[in-house]
Amino acid sequence: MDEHVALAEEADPREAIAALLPRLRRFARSLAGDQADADDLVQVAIERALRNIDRYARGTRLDSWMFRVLKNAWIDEARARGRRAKVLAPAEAGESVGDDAAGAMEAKLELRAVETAMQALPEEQRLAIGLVCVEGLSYREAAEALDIPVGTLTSRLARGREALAALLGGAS
Amino acid sequence: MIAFEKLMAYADGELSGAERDAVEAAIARDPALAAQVEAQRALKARLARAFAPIAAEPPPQRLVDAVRAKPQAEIVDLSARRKARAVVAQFAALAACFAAGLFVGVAALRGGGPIGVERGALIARGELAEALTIQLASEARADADIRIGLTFAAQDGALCRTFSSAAAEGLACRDGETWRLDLLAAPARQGEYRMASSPLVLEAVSARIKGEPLDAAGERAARDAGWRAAR
Repeated sequence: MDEHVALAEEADPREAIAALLPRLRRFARSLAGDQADADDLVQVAIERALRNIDRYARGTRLDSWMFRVLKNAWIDEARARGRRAKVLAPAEAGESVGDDAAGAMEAKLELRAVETAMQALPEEQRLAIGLVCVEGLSYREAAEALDIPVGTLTSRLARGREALAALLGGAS
Repeated sequence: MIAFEKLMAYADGELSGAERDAVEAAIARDPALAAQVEAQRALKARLARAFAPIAAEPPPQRLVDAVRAKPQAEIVDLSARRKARAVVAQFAALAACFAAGLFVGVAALRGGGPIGVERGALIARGELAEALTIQLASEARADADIRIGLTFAAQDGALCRTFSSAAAEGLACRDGETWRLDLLAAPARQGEYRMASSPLVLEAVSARIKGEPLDAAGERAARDAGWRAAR
């Protein structure tokens, strides 16, 4: 099941990374809470990944490696900004919803509700939830991408999910 | 008593063997545990669903460009890639025609502007011609309206320069006393991290360049010599 993301010896890493863009953007969005910041983050991660592509071990999962690069970029960036304090609803500005169909509108409101709750979580819990719940990685894969033991991943995930459940009031 | 973490792991399909059996037995005895497992599954599904539209939309061009940036890593590549580039270059030329058409139309209405037509070719005028003739990339002011990028000699010896402004970017080559516009394109959006020139301009440069771009001294010498074609 891993073949489609592991990079063969002769494959072009740029093509493989390009194919991962949708998932990288989604993961970044789950961390950053707004699309412009998320895309800046993806861009930084791409540039870092291409500079360090020789550190990627061919044959291992490229998606996990890219998630890790993105995670590191995010942590550096968050540190540089000095612990982002914003817990408020993101993306009030700029996101045009005017001519959307009702369904798309609902989807946007739902996304906003969910990411507002996500933004209230500590960084480490958000990373765990982003990889497992949003990106669908297994605990082992997520723990590897985050460079933490599976036990640590599990407890961050549990705390984050309890907090989210309280914030979101159960399933919609 | 089953810990929350165990229930969550079970809900996520992370347990197997005896661990899974134990949780399943506990759930069978206690409907409250079953409800917790359901709630965990529902929450996970809700998160996945909420973010799904992000992965469904096409990534913005600047990210696609970022993946394909830095052509030096690809020089060793196959002729297939070169062919693909040739196709892109044709599109670029086509796109430039349209962009230039608009541009010229507007300029003609205003009765002036940065672009004119001479002997069937688009040429730089006004501020653009002035910038191409006078500005040195090595002395560029960050706030200049028109910025010069690379200066280089083309295969036919003519000196060419890339430029960019808020409205357009492109490539101009010296032709007698004028700057002929070989490429004019809408500027790539300027993100915080992007490169100076769009891929279209870089394509056009690599299709024409002979040798290396001029360095600061070469650029100055070429300007002082009136942009005469290299021998």
